[in-house]
Amino acid sequence: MQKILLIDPEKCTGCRSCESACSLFHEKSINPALAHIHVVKMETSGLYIPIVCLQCERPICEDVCPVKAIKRDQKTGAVVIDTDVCVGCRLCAIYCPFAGPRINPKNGKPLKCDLCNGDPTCVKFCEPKAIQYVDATQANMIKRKNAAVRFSELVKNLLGTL
Amino acid sequence: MSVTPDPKFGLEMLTPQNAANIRGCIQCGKCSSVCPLVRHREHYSPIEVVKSVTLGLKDIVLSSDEIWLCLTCQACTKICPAGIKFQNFMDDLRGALKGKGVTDYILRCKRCGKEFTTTPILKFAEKLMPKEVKVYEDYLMLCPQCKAYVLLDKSAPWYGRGII
Repeated sequence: MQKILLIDPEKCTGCRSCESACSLFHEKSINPALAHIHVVKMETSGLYIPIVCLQCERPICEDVCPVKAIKRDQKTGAVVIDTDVCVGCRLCAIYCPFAGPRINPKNGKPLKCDLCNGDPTCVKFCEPKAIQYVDATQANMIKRKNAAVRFSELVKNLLGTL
Repeated sequence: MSVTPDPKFGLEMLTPQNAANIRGCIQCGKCSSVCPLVRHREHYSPIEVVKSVTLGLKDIVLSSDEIWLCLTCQACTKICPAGIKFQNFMDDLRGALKGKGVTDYILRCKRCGKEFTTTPILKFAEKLMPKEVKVYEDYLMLCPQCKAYVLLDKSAPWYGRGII
C-alpha cells in the first residue's frame, strides 16, 4: 500500500524541528539548509507551511532529468535521486511545480525527500502532528472528514442566521 | 563562410590564469564523453568550445548558444586529465559576453532578481518533456528558492488550477 506524507498547515507551529531532524538523519549535521523539508512562513496569512516533495504519480523531474538519475523506489513508492549519477544541473528544481527539490549549497546537487526508506524522521519529531505518514486512502478519508466538519459548521452558521 | 582566426581573442576573453590553463588541453575528448548534454544534442560538445577558443575563432564562439547551454554541472572539470577547470572557463566566457552587452540569454528570477538559468537551457529541457505537459511561463521565471513562497499566492494565475 502506498503511504504518503499528509501535511496539515493549520497545525504547524513553525518550530522547524522537522528540518533539524531531517538534516541530522540524511546529512549527519543539524543544518536546516541541508534539510529535505522546508517550512515556509507566509507573512500575509500568518501560516507556516511545510514544503516537501509530494512523490507525484508522474514526476516531471523524472522526465526533465538529462541523465535519468531520478527513479521511483518500488519498495516505498518514493521518487529517489541517485546522487552518484546526478550531475547537478538543477533542472528538476527549476521545473518542479511544488518546489520539492532544494539545492545543496555544498555541492550544488538537489536534496529531495526519499521518505527515509519507509520510516520518515520528520514525522517522529513533529510535536503538533502536522506531518503524518499514512496510507493514501486513509489520507483521503481524513481530508474528507475535515471538509465535512467545515461544511457542517458552515450550515450551522447559515441556519443560525436565518 | 570564411573564418578569420583572431589570436588575441583567447587572452581578451579569459582571465590570464584560465588562458594559460586552457592551453594544456590535450584534446582527448573525455569532457565530451561525460557531458550530459551530448547524448541529447548532436552538435554540442565542450571540446569544440575549447578548440574554437584556443584557435581564436571569435565569430563561431560568439554566434553560437553553446556557451549559454552549459549546465555548469562540472562533470567535465572532474574528469579532465589535463586539469582544465572548464566551469571557470565557461564562467569567464559568460562574464566577458555580459561585459560586451550580451544579456538576452540570461534569465533572472522575477521575485528576487537572481540569475538562475538561461533561455537555451529551458529550450533544451522543453524537448525532454512530454508534449501534453505545459508549464505556466510566469512560474518558470522563478528561482527554486522563491517558488515555495509564490506557490500559495492567491492572486497568481495558477492558483486553484494546478501549475502544470
